[in-house]
Amino acid sequence: MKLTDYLSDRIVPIVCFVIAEGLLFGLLWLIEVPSVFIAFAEIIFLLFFSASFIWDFHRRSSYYNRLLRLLEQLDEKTLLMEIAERPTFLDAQIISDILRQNTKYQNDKIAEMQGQSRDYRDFLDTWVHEIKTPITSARLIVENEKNPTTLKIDDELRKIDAFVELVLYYARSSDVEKDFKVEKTTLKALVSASLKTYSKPIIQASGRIQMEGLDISVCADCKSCAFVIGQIISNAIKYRQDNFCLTFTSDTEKNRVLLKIHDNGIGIDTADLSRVFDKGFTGENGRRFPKSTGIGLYLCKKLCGKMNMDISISSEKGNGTTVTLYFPTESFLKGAGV
Amino acid sequence: MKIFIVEDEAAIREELIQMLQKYGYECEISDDFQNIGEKALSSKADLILLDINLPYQDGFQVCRYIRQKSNVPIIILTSRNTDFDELMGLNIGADDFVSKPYNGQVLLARIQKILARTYEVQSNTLLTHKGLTLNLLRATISHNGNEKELTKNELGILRLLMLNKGNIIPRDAIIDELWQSEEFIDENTLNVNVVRLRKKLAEIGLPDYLETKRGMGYSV
Repeated sequence: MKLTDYLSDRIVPIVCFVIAEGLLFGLLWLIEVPSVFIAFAEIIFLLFFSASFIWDFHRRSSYYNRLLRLLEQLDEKTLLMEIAERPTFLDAQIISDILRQNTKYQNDKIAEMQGQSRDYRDFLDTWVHEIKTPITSARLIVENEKNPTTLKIDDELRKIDAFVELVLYYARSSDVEKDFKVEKTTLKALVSASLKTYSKPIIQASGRIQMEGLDISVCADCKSCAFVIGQIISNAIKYRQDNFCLTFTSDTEKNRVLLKIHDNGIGIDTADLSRVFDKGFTGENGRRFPKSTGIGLYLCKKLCGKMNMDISISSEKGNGTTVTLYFPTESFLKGAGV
Repeated sequence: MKIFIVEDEAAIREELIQMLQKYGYECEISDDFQNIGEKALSSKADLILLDINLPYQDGFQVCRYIRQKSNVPIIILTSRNTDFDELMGLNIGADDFVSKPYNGQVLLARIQKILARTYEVQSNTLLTHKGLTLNLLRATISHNGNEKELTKNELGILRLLMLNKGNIIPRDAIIDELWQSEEFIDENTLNVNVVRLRKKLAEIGLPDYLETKRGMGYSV
């Protein structure tokens, strides 16, 4: 609290005081009191008036400064009034009582919402695991009786499974507690795992696979990485053109290993390119293909961020898209103490 | 070779039994989930497939109980595919961990690997249909004493067809089967492999063994 702010807030009493001093001076001067006495009386009034002002300013400014410092140090800002001291002057007492009730209500609401979202996430987790049981048994039934009909059903089961995985990773992506299990693997192992998951749609699209130089070892969470690569493959299948071909290549930079996934699909508008990682963004291609959800790449970006990885995209309309994944190298991870 | 299946979901259990029996494994189950550990041990099975979500107790407890008394190989099958569960399972003595929904071929390969490692015997590796014998481990076919070696892809194609004898298997399903063993081949490679396989079959005296169903796929 600045002194000037305080004084301008107290402008009415100050003006009243000045007027009172003026009237007093006029009155005393009219009854011909010697000016020494007039000055003496005025100074006494001034001293006491200022003293009360300074005292009031001091208690207010010290209280509010302490409160502001506390607010700055606090991580959970809504808990401020729970730990702040009770003010000694009336208006602040009223305000602090109101704030206390107000933030109590807010904190209760926040706790309730957090509880609800945790319940919801737990339910989703359980649900995902429940739904996997019938998917497994249905796929085993197909395994035991392969014919053109059951194999078509199997294709649909795989789609269901991919959607269920999407739910699982979506629920996990907002979870800060979930840790990743980072282990040593190769780019080839990660790519192969994802290709197996999306084998059927690629084969049915008569897709060709090219892999070059993927025998580079990286440290990564296999399941999450396979999910990310799977999403990119799934996009490539969705937005393919004739003569569909997927190319996986690698590159090394200082401190990181690059996995480049190139497709020869329809590509992405330059205008849309910067926003493809935004949640729910589908862009021009989304209007052409109503099945776009705008979730896949958003999740990829989020998961990569959590795994200390990076993801970037480049594309030329009509000529395909290249998605690059950046894996930190082992030595870099060691240096960073991870 | 006998496999004991601890799984409370009847549909999955039935299908697992059917699949394993196709490969010549003997299967045993029990519904007594309160004493499932003892049942598994007393069955004298060579391998135990263990689900985690069970009535009365969870699979980890069953696994620990079995481990206290026996070294029989245990593969955990579960839909709880978190890393924690996997670590927990392996730490208390399971030999392998497969999460649902699993690919049947992958599961079989793991069972075969563990059995071969534990008992140093290689059984259940012969498939026979219409006079042709396919040896899965040595990758050979034989008919009336004539024998031929197969490549990895040819073996994959023939195994899939022989396991589903009488059924038409579409081309994409065959390619998919080969992709699952990391051979990312395309249509042309499949054609080449089928032609070679036919030639080998003809050489051992079975010229029309592999039938083409035009527009649909292949069958044996």
